[in-house]
Amino acid sequence: MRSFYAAMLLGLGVSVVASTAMMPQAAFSQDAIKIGVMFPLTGPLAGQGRPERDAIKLAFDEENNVIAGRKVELLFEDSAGRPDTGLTKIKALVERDKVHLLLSELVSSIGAAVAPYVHEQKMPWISTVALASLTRGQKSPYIFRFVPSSYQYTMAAAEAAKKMGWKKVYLIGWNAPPGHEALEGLKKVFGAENIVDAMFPNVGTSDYAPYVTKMDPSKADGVFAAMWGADSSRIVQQYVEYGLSKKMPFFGIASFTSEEILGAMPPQAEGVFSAYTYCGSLDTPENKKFVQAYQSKFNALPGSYQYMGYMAAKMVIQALKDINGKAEDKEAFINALAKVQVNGPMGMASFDANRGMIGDFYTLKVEKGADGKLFNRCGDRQAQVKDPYDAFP
Amino acid sequence: MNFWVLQTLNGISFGMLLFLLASGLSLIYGLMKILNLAHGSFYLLGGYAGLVVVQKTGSFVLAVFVATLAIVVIGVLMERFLLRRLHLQEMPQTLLTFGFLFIFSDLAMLIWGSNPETVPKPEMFSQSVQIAGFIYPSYRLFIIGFGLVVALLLWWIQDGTRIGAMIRAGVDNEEIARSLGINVSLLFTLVFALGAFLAALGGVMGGPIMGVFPGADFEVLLLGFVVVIIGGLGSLKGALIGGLIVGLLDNFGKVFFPEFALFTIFAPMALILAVRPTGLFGRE
Repeated sequence: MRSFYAAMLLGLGVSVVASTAMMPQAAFSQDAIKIGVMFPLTGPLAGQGRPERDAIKLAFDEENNVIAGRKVELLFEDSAGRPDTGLTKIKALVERDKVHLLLSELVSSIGAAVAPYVHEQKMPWISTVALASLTRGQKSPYIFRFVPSSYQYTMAAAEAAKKMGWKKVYLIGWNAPPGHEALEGLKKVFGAENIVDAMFPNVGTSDYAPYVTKMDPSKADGVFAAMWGADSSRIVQQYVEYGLSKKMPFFGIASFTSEEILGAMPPQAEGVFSAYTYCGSLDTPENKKFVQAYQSKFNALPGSYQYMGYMAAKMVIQALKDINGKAEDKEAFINALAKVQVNGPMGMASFDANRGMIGDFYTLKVEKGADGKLFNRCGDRQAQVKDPYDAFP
Repeated sequence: MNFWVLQTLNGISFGMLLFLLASGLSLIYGLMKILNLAHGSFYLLGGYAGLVVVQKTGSFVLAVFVATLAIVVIGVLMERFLLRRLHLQEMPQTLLTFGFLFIFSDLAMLIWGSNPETVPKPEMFSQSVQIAGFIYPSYRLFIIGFGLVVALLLWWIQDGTRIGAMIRAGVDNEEIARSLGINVSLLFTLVFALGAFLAALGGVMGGPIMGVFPGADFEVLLLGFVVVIIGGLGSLKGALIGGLIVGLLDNFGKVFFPEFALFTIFAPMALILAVRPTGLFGRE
């Protein structure tokens, strides 16, 4: 009997010692802060996804991958640009890898698929998905959108063009949410009766000639285009070929002339306008430092996707510093992130009440540089533009 | 009036590009019964190879030669060493070419990155011309003429030469052709090489209009199949007429029913399949 009590006592003692020994580790855990980073790394959108991922890496490298004395571990996944794959990979990051937060994605359809899941899991997610619904219908305290929404950038572009004297306009946009939302944004600024025609070709249309040749320069002051990647270089090419660029100015919406696309545009793309939160040639010390750091590391000029990734990471880093690196406390983290303000390459950036990005917009114009290459010249600035969620019921 | 001329020219020039793509697909199937899914890769790699040569030398003509030659070599190697082992096994052959489609797609992304590229146009056709009051890109007119020349050449090879006669014999009855002393094995390689050549040619010629970018291989393959299904597998005439039909349907579809852009291609395809399952010029 005595031996039984002795054994019990010993067991109890061992377990108490063991648990107290474990306790400090749980409380002041020196495990790494795990951040899930998923982007399209293969497929047609890899041209945007890979550089954005690189820019996120750059931001954390600048901190030597240590925040508030805690190591940071980035876990990379490839969404391939597809909603089903994207959701599966996000679930793997959350449930298998137990990440503390997600810094992921730029594809709208993936954003829409992932939003309900991260809300249910209470998983902080900083996205660069331009989907307005993430901060409206699907909004959640855990979802942050660090990229202008489709309405936000369309209306900024429309305001810039209106200032240049445009009254009647054409729209050619993807037959996808960003294209149709661009039409809503244009209607708000110009009035529905001043949209001469709105055309919605499918994503990846091989030949834009039929659309381009339908546009009549005598009927409108200019053309807006809401399409990106390979399609934006293709439509400019064909717009120029049919001699329209000489008769009617062309305005690309959002990242239409982002640096990585400019290389594929024809020399005659000179004169194409756009308006966005990143202008590569902006002459500020912060931007010069960013361009130089990215270029020396990845041997390419950063464009708007890199800027979004870099700045979204900067916002996260600042919020993590504010809570002393305690990434486990998700409520504290999202409250800190909602209040973060970072002065980056393009000036101040922050989140609005719905957790959408607020930042400065610049009107860009494609020009030929001294080296004969096309670049974006920075024009008028629209200060601290936010998602116009009040303008839509 | 101008509007109709303009849109018809657009449709025909796009149709000619589709013909270049579909004729190779069709020829290879006609003789060898191989559904070559790597055809899209030949287009993509041809476009990229052409791009490299134009950027290095500035010569579009040289780009056409080098790119098509490079792709022909790849095609011949594929046929000689891999497809040959699976002769007349349709499923394994199709899967093999499907695998190649993915491998080439990733290889291209590894080598050329994932940003879209456009092959610069030959200097001579870089301008637009003014015809009867409207501006038209001269390169598109050139594509129309070039497509016609290729069509005539292929016709002549098929109907006017000894090789063509041998190919036709091989298509009709492989065993009897063999027993008559025709080297069908060599013929297979030749036709596969010709198919690869045409796809690569489409890549270089189409590069200035459609561009080369990750995913172009799949896009082009899909359009190529629609053309071949409408025109009939194994028929050159079918590839030409099918290409023109799809080019025009696509163009006028986009003009009049922009919301149903793909519908105007696939609905006629479904209709033709229902009425003539072998396509317009396909044989039973």
